[in-house]
Amino acid sequence: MVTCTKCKKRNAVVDLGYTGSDLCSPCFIAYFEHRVFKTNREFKLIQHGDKLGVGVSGGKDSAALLFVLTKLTKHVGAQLIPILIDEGIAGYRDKAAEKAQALCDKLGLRLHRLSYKKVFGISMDETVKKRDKVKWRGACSYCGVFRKHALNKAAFDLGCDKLAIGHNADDMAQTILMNFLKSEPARFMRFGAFSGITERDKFVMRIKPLMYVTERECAIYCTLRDLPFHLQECPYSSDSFRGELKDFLNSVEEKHPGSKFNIIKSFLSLKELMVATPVSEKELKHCAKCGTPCSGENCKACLLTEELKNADGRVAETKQITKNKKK
Amino acid sequence: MKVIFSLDGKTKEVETKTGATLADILKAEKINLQTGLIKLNGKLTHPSTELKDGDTLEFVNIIYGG
Ligand code: SF4
Ligand SMILES: [Zn+2]
Ligand SMILES: [Zn+2]
Repeated sequence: MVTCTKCKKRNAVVDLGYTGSDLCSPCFIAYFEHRVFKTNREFKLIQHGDKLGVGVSGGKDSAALLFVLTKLTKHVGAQLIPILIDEGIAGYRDKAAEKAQALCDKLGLRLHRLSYKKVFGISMDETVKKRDKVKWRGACSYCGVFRKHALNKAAFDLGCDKLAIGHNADDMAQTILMNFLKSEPARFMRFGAFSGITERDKFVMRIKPLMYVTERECAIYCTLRDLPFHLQECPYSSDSFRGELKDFLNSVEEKHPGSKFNIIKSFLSLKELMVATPVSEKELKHCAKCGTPCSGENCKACLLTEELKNADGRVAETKQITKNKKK
Repeated sequence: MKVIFSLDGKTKEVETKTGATLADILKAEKINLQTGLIKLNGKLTHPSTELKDGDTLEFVNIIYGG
Protein backbone atom coordinates (compact mmCIF):
# COMPACT_ATOMS: atom_id res chain seq x y z
CA MET A 1 0.00 0.00 0.00
CA VAL A 2 1.14 3.51 -0.81
CA THR A 3 0.24 6.34 1.58
CA CYS A 4 -1.07 9.66 0.24
CA THR A 5 1.76 12.22 -0.02
CA LYS A 6 -0.62 15.05 0.82
CA CYS A 7 -2.61 14.00 3.89
CA LYS A 8 -0.20 11.22 4.90
CA LYS A 9 -3.19 9.31 6.27
CA ARG A 10 -5.22 7.52 3.65
CA ASN A 11 -4.15 5.05 0.97
CA ALA A 12 -3.16 6.63 -2.33
CA VAL A 13 -5.21 5.57 -5.35
CA VAL A 14 -3.59 7.76 -7.98
CA ASP A 15 0.00 8.10 -9.10
CA LEU A 16 0.60 11.60 -10.47
CA GLY A 17 3.80 11.01 -12.39
CA TYR A 18 4.71 14.61 -13.18
CA THR A 19 4.39 15.91 -9.63
CA GLY A 20 5.96 12.88 -8.02
CA SER A 21 3.01 12.64 -5.65
CA ASP A 22 0.59 9.85 -4.87
CA LEU A 23 -2.88 10.96 -3.84
CA CYS A 24 -5.87 9.49 -2.04
CA SER A 25 -9.36 10.08 -3.42
CA PRO A 26 -10.28 13.28 -1.45
CA CYS A 27 -6.81 14.78 -2.00
CA PHE A 28 -6.96 14.07 -5.75
CA ILE A 29 -10.39 15.68 -6.04
CA ALA A 30 -9.13 18.75 -4.16
CA TYR A 31 -6.00 18.87 -6.33
CA PHE A 32 -7.99 18.65 -9.58
CA GLU A 33 -10.45 21.38 -8.58
CA HIS A 34 -7.66 23.59 -7.32
CA ARG A 35 -5.93 23.38 -10.71
CA VAL A 36 -9.07 24.41 -12.57
CA PHE A 37 -9.74 27.28 -10.15
CA LYS A 38 -6.13 28.39 -10.56
CA THR A 39 -6.36 28.33 -14.36
CA ASN A 40 -9.49 30.41 -14.07
CA ARG A 41 -7.75 33.01 -11.90
CA GLU A 42 -4.57 33.08 -13.97
CA PHE A 43 -6.37 33.78 -17.25
CA LYS A 44 -9.40 35.58 -15.79
CA LEU A 45 -11.69 33.22 -17.66
CA ILE A 46 -14.99 33.43 -15.78
CA GLN A 47 -16.12 36.64 -14.14
CA HIS A 48 -18.89 37.75 -11.84
CA GLY A 49 -22.18 38.07 -13.70
CA ASP A 50 -21.08 35.99 -16.72
CA LYS A 51 -23.67 33.95 -18.52
CA LEU A 52 -21.55 30.92 -19.29
CA GLY A 53 -22.39 28.31 -21.93
CA VAL A 54 -20.73 24.92 -21.44
CA GLY A 55 -20.31 22.42 -24.24
CA VAL A 56 -21.22 18.96 -22.94
CA SER A 57 -20.98 15.74 -24.93
CA GLY A 58 -21.65 13.00 -22.38
CA GLY A 59 -17.94 12.18 -22.38
CA LYS A 60 -15.57 12.35 -19.41
CA ASP A 61 -13.91 15.69 -20.17
CA SER A 62 -17.10 17.69 -20.38
CA ALA A 63 -18.60 15.79 -17.42
CA ALA A 64 -15.62 16.81 -15.29
CA LEU A 65 -15.84 20.35 -16.70
CA LEU A 66 -19.52 20.76 -15.93
CA PHE A 67 -19.17 19.45 -12.40
CA VAL A 68 -16.22 21.67 -11.50
CA LEU A 69 -17.91 24.65 -13.12
CA THR A 70 -20.99 24.27 -10.94
CA LYS A 71 -18.67 24.90 -7.98
CA LEU A 72 -16.66 27.60 -9.70
CA THR A 73 -19.64 29.58 -10.99
CA LYS A 74 -21.27 29.45 -7.55
CA HIS A 75 -18.05 30.82 -6.10
CA VAL A 76 -17.62 33.56 -8.72
CA GLY A 77 -21.31 34.36 -9.17
CA ALA A 78 -21.91 33.32 -12.78
CA GLN A 79 -24.75 31.52 -14.56
CA LEU A 80 -24.22 28.08 -16.11
CA ILE A 81 -25.92 26.88 -19.31
CA PRO A 82 -25.06 23.35 -20.51
CA ILE A 83 -25.31 22.85 -24.28
CA LEU A 84 -25.23 19.55 -26.12
CA ILE A 85 -24.61 19.40 -29.85
CA ASP A 86 -26.15 16.32 -31.40
CA GLU A 87 -24.14 15.34 -34.48
CA GLY A 88 -26.68 12.66 -35.38
CA ILE A 89 -24.46 9.59 -34.99
CA ALA A 90 -26.81 6.72 -34.17
CA GLY A 91 -25.58 4.34 -31.48
CA TYR A 92 -22.95 6.81 -30.34
CA ARG A 93 -24.02 10.35 -29.53
CA ASP A 94 -27.52 9.29 -28.49
CA LYS A 95 -26.03 6.99 -25.86
CA ALA A 96 -23.62 9.67 -24.70
CA ALA A 97 -26.45 12.23 -24.59
CA GLU A 98 -28.28 10.06 -22.06
CA LYS A 99 -25.27 10.38 -19.75
CA ALA A 100 -25.12 14.13 -20.28
CA GLN A 101 -28.81 14.36 -19.42
CA ALA A 102 -28.31 12.21 -16.31
CA LEU A 103 -25.49 14.49 -15.15
CA CYS A 104 -27.57 17.63 -15.72
CA ASP A 105 -30.47 16.05 -13.80
CA LYS A 106 -28.08 15.25 -10.96
CA LEU A 107 -26.89 18.87 -10.92
CA GLY A 108 -30.36 20.35 -11.36
CA LEU A 109 -29.41 22.05 -14.65
CA ARG A 110 -31.42 22.30 -17.84
CA LEU A 111 -29.62 20.81 -20.84
CA HIS A 112 -30.05 22.71 -24.11
CA ARG A 113 -29.74 20.70 -27.32
CA LEU A 114 -29.04 21.62 -30.91
CA SER A 115 -28.56 19.15 -33.77
CA TYR A 116 -26.55 19.27 -37.00
CA LYS A 117 -29.76 18.30 -38.75
CA LYS A 118 -31.42 21.46 -37.48
CA VAL A 119 -28.51 23.82 -38.21
CA PHE A 120 -27.10 22.35 -41.43
CA GLY A 121 -30.01 20.24 -42.65
CA ILE A 122 -27.81 17.15 -42.54
CA SER A 123 -26.79 14.74 -39.77
CA MET A 124 -23.32 13.17 -39.45
CA ASP A 125 -24.75 9.78 -40.47
CA GLU A 126 -26.00 11.38 -43.69
CA THR A 127 -22.81 13.37 -44.18
CA VAL A 128 -20.75 10.19 -44.00
CA LYS A 129 -22.96 8.47 -46.59
CA LYS A 130 -22.52 11.40 -48.96
CA ARG A 131 -18.85 11.65 -48.18
CA ASP A 132 -18.37 7.95 -48.92
CA LYS A 133 -19.21 8.67 -52.53
CA VAL A 134 -16.37 11.10 -52.96
CA LYS A 135 -13.95 10.40 -50.10
CA TRP A 136 -11.89 13.52 -50.33
CA ARG A 137 -12.27 14.52 -46.71
CA GLY A 138 -12.34 12.59 -43.45
CA ALA A 139 -15.58 12.61 -41.42
CA CYS A 140 -13.91 14.63 -38.64
CA SER A 141 -13.05 17.43 -41.10
CA TYR A 142 -16.77 18.11 -41.51
CA CYS A 143 -17.73 17.29 -37.95
CA GLY A 144 -15.09 19.53 -36.35
CA VAL A 145 -16.19 22.56 -38.35
CA PHE A 146 -19.89 21.82 -37.83
CA ARG A 147 -19.53 21.35 -34.08
CA LYS A 148 -17.67 24.62 -33.62
CA HIS A 149 -20.27 26.44 -35.67
CA ALA A 150 -23.28 24.84 -33.96
CA LEU A 151 -21.90 25.36 -30.46
CA ASN A 152 -21.23 29.00 -31.21
CA LYS A 153 -24.71 29.43 -32.65
CA ALA A 154 -26.39 27.77 -29.66
CA ALA A 155 -24.37 29.83 -27.18
CA PHE A 156 -25.02 33.03 -29.12
CA ASP A 157 -28.76 32.40 -29.42
CA LEU A 158 -28.95 31.64 -25.69
CA GLY A 159 -27.28 34.97 -24.97
CA CYS A 160 -24.08 33.54 -23.46
CA ASP A 161 -21.13 35.85 -22.79
CA LYS A 162 -18.62 33.01 -22.97
CA LEU A 163 -18.49 29.38 -23.93
CA ALA A 164 -16.48 26.86 -21.90
CA ILE A 165 -15.23 23.78 -23.73
CA GLY A 166 -13.71 20.60 -22.30
CA HIS A 167 -10.30 20.85 -23.97
CA ASN A 168 -7.74 19.38 -21.60
CA ALA A 169 -3.94 19.45 -21.46
CA ASP A 170 -3.73 16.52 -23.88
CA ASP A 171 -5.86 18.32 -26.48
CA MET A 172 -3.82 21.48 -26.03
CA ALA A 173 -0.45 19.73 -26.40
CA GLN A 174 -1.68 17.82 -29.47
CA THR A 175 -2.98 20.96 -31.15
CA ILE A 176 0.22 22.87 -30.44
CA LEU A 177 2.34 20.09 -31.96
CA MET A 178 -0.05 19.78 -34.87
CA ASN A 179 0.19 23.49 -35.68
CA PHE A 180 3.96 23.16 -35.55
CA LEU A 181 4.03 20.14 -37.80
CA LYS A 182 1.60 21.66 -40.28
CA SER A 183 3.30 25.06 -40.09
CA GLU A 184 0.21 27.10 -39.34
CA PRO A 185 1.51 30.21 -37.56
CA ALA A 186 -1.72 32.16 -37.97
CA ARG A 187 -3.66 29.48 -36.14
CA PHE A 188 -0.96 29.46 -33.53
CA MET A 189 -1.49 33.06 -32.62
CA ARG A 190 -5.18 32.56 -32.02
CA PHE A 191 -4.68 29.51 -29.82
CA GLY A 192 -4.65 29.61 -26.02
CA ALA A 193 -6.81 29.70 -22.91
CA PHE A 194 -9.18 31.90 -24.89
CA SER A 195 -9.65 31.04 -28.50
CA GLY A 196 -11.12 32.27 -31.72
CA ILE A 197 -11.62 35.78 -32.92
CA THR A 198 -12.48 37.69 -29.79
CA GLU A 199 -14.77 40.67 -29.59
CA ARG A 200 -16.67 40.08 -32.79
CA ASP A 201 -20.40 40.21 -33.01
CA LYS A 202 -22.11 36.83 -33.47
CA PHE A 203 -19.08 35.19 -31.96
CA VAL A 204 -19.02 33.83 -28.41
CA MET A 205 -15.54 33.70 -26.92
CA ARG A 206 -14.38 30.18 -26.10
CA ILE A 207 -12.54 29.41 -22.88
CA LYS A 208 -10.68 26.30 -21.73
CA PRO A 209 -10.77 25.88 -17.94
CA LEU A 210 -9.36 22.31 -18.19
CA MET A 211 -6.19 23.24 -20.05
CA TYR A 212 -3.98 22.33 -17.08
CA VAL A 213 -5.50 18.93 -16.28
CA THR A 214 -4.86 15.85 -18.39
CA GLU A 215 -7.35 13.60 -20.13
CA ARG A 216 -6.48 10.81 -17.69
CA GLU A 217 -7.08 13.12 -14.72
CA CYS A 218 -10.53 13.97 -16.09
CA ALA A 219 -11.37 10.25 -16.24
CA ILE A 220 -10.06 9.74 -12.70
CA TYR A 221 -12.04 12.73 -11.44
CA CYS A 222 -15.28 11.45 -12.98
CA THR A 223 -14.65 7.97 -11.56
CA LEU A 224 -13.89 9.20 -8.05
CA ARG A 225 -16.81 11.64 -8.09
CA ASP A 226 -19.03 8.93 -9.55
CA LEU A 227 -20.23 11.14 -12.42
CA PRO A 228 -22.11 9.52 -15.31
CA PHE A 229 -20.06 9.53 -18.53
CA HIS A 230 -19.90 7.59 -21.75
CA LEU A 231 -16.77 5.81 -23.00
CA GLN A 232 -16.86 4.66 -26.59
CA GLU A 233 -14.93 5.32 -29.75
CA CYS A 234 -16.86 7.31 -32.35
CA PRO A 235 -17.53 5.02 -35.35
CA TYR A 236 -16.39 7.76 -37.76
CA SER A 237 -13.21 8.78 -35.95
CA SER A 238 -10.87 9.67 -38.81
CA ASP A 239 -8.35 12.16 -37.52
CA SER A 240 -5.41 9.77 -37.65
CA PHE A 241 -2.81 12.53 -37.37
CA ARG A 242 -4.18 13.62 -34.00
CA GLY A 243 -4.33 9.95 -32.97
CA GLU A 244 -0.67 9.48 -33.80
CA LEU A 245 0.27 12.56 -31.80
CA LYS A 246 -1.83 11.26 -28.90
CA ASP A 247 0.13 7.99 -28.86
CA PHE A 248 3.41 9.82 -29.24
CA LEU A 249 2.67 12.24 -26.38
CA ASN A 250 1.53 9.44 -24.10
CA SER A 251 4.72 7.46 -24.59
CA VAL A 252 6.83 10.58 -24.08
CA GLU A 253 4.82 11.44 -20.93
CA GLU A 254 5.32 7.93 -19.52
CA LYS A 255 9.11 8.26 -19.82
CA HIS A 256 9.39 11.98 -19.16
CA PRO A 257 6.56 12.99 -16.83
CA GLY A 258 5.43 16.60 -17.24
CA SER A 259 6.18 16.81 -20.98
CA LYS A 260 2.59 17.64 -21.93
CA PHE A 261 2.46 20.60 -19.55
CA ASN A 262 5.88 21.74 -20.70
CA ILE A 263 4.68 21.90 -24.31
CA ILE A 264 1.78 24.13 -23.26
CA LYS A 265 3.94 26.34 -21.06
CA SER A 266 6.63 26.72 -23.73
CA PHE A 267 4.00 27.63 -26.26
CA LEU A 268 2.38 30.24 -24.02
CA SER A 269 5.74 31.87 -23.23
CA LEU A 270 6.67 31.90 -26.90
CA LYS A 271 3.34 33.44 -27.76
CA GLU A 272 3.93 36.21 -25.28
CA LEU A 273 7.31 36.95 -26.82
CA MET A 274 6.05 36.96 -30.37
CA VAL A 275 4.43 40.19 -31.41
CA ALA A 276 0.85 39.26 -32.06
CA THR A 277 -0.14 40.17 -35.57
CA PRO A 278 -3.84 40.83 -35.18
CA VAL A 279 -6.06 39.97 -38.07
CA SER A 280 -7.11 43.44 -39.22
CA GLU A 281 -10.73 44.45 -39.03
CA LYS A 282 -10.87 44.93 -42.79
CA GLU A 283 -9.85 41.36 -43.53
CA LEU A 284 -12.63 40.01 -41.35
CA LYS A 285 -15.97 39.70 -43.03
CA HIS A 286 -19.26 38.09 -42.20
CA CYS A 287 -20.46 35.00 -44.00
CA ALA A 288 -22.87 36.09 -46.72
CA LYS A 289 -25.10 33.14 -45.87
CA CYS A 290 -25.23 32.83 -42.10
CA GLY A 291 -23.49 35.95 -40.80
CA THR A 292 -20.74 34.18 -38.85
CA PRO A 293 -17.49 36.17 -38.71
CA CYS A 294 -14.99 34.70 -41.18
CA SER A 295 -12.18 35.74 -43.50
CA GLY A 296 -13.76 34.87 -46.87
CA GLU A 297 -17.15 35.36 -48.52
CA ASN A 298 -18.61 32.36 -46.70
CA CYS A 299 -17.71 30.62 -43.46
CA LYS A 300 -16.22 27.14 -43.47
CA ALA A 301 -19.43 25.49 -42.25
CA CYS A 302 -21.43 26.97 -45.13
CA LEU A 303 -18.74 25.95 -47.64
CA LEU A 304 -18.82 22.38 -46.36
CA THR A 305 -22.63 22.10 -46.38
CA GLU A 306 -22.56 23.39 -49.95
CA GLU A 307 -19.90 20.82 -50.81
CA LEU A 308 -22.11 18.05 -49.42
CA LYS A 309 -25.15 19.30 -51.33
CA ASN A 310 -23.10 19.05 -54.51
CA ALA A 311 -21.58 15.69 -53.60
CA ASP A 312 -23.73 13.79 -56.12
CA GLY A 313 -22.68 16.15 -58.86
CA ARG A 314 -19.06 15.68 -57.89
CA VAL A 315 -19.36 11.92 -58.28
CA ALA A 316 -20.53 12.37 -61.83
CA GLU A 317 -17.68 14.78 -62.44
CA THR A 318 -15.09 12.39 -61.02
CA LYS A 319 -16.44 9.55 -63.11
CA GLN A 320 -16.37 11.71 -66.20
CA ILE A 321 -12.76 12.61 -65.63
CA THR A 322 -11.72 8.97 -65.14
CA LYS A 323 -13.53 8.04 -68.34
CA ASN A 324 -11.78 10.70 -70.30
CA LYS A 325 -8.43 9.65 -68.92
CA LYS A 326 -8.93 6.09 -70.07
CA LYS A 327 -9.52 7.20 -73.62
CA MET B 1 0.03 -17.04 -8.52
CA LYS B 2 -2.77 -16.26 -10.91
CA VAL B 3 -4.78 -13.08 -11.41
CA ILE B 4 -7.66 -12.26 -13.72
CA PHE B 5 -6.93 -9.46 -16.16
CA SER B 6 -9.50 -7.74 -18.32
CA LEU B 7 -9.14 -5.18 -21.09
CA ASP B 8 -11.81 -3.87 -23.47
CA GLY B 9 -14.28 -6.50 -22.29
CA LYS B 10 -11.84 -9.38 -22.86
CA THR B 11 -10.85 -11.35 -19.77
CA LYS B 12 -7.92 -13.72 -19.32
CA GLU B 13 -5.89 -15.42 -16.60
CA VAL B 14 -2.37 -14.16 -16.07
CA GLU B 15 0.36 -16.12 -14.28
CA THR B 16 2.62 -13.87 -12.23
CA LYS B 17 5.27 -13.99 -9.48
CA THR B 18 4.33 -13.45 -5.84
CA GLY B 19 4.63 -9.80 -4.88
CA ALA B 20 3.90 -8.55 -8.40
CA THR B 21 2.21 -5.15 -8.58
CA LEU B 22 -0.47 -3.73 -10.87
CA ALA B 23 2.23 -1.81 -12.70
CA ASP B 24 4.14 -5.09 -13.33
CA ILE B 25 1.12 -6.60 -15.03
CA LEU B 26 0.60 -3.50 -17.19
CA LYS B 27 4.25 -3.63 -18.19
CA ALA B 28 4.03 -7.32 -19.08
CA GLU B 29 0.91 -6.61 -21.13
CA LYS B 30 2.67 -3.67 -22.81
CA ILE B 31 0.09 -1.16 -21.68
CA ASN B 32 0.96 2.49 -21.10
CA LEU B 33 -0.63 3.67 -17.83
CA GLN B 34 -1.15 7.10 -19.42
CA THR B 35 -3.82 5.66 -21.69
CA GLY B 36 -6.28 4.63 -19.02
CA LEU B 37 -7.32 3.74 -15.51
CA ILE B 38 -6.41 0.66 -13.55
CA LYS B 39 -8.96 -0.94 -11.27
CA LEU B 40 -8.36 -3.69 -8.73
CA ASN B 41 -11.45 -5.68 -7.78
CA GLY B 42 -13.57 -2.90 -9.24
CA LYS B 43 -11.88 0.04 -7.50
CA LEU B 44 -9.41 2.60 -8.76
CA THR B 45 -6.07 1.52 -7.24
CA HIS B 46 -2.51 2.82 -7.07
CA PRO B 47 -0.30 1.01 -9.60
CA SER B 48 2.34 0.09 -6.97
CA THR B 49 -0.17 -2.02 -5.04
CA GLU B 50 0.82 -5.67 -4.65
CA LEU B 51 -1.50 -8.28 -6.03
CA LYS B 52 -2.94 -11.28 -4.24
CA ASP B 53 -3.75 -14.64 -5.76
CA GLY B 54 -7.14 -14.55 -7.50
CA ASP B 55 -7.33 -10.73 -7.73
CA THR B 56 -9.27 -9.20 -10.61
CA LEU B 57 -7.62 -6.40 -12.56
CA GLU B 58 -9.26 -4.21 -15.13
CA PHE B 59 -7.69 -1.66 -17.42
CA VAL B 60 -10.15 0.94 -18.69
CA ASN B 61 -8.95 2.49 -21.92
CA ILE B 62 -9.87 6.18 -21.98
CA ILE B 63 -8.09 7.34 -25.08
CA TYR B 64 -10.64 7.69 -27.84
CA GLY B 65 -11.20 10.20 -30.56
CA GLY B 66 -14.10 12.66 -30.44
S1 SF4 C 1 -14.58 11.48 -33.91
FE1 SF4 C 1 -14.84 12.83 -35.67
S2 SF4 C 1 -16.82 12.27 -36.54
FE2 SF4 C 1 -16.77 11.43 -34.46
S3 SF4 C 1 -17.73 12.98 -33.17
FE3 SF4 C 1 -15.52 13.39 -33.13
S4 SF4 C 1 -15.15 14.87 -34.78
FE4 SF4 C 1 -17.20 13.97 -35.10
ZN1 LIG D 1 -4.76 12.32 0.99
ZN1 LIG E 1 -21.86 30.68 -42.97
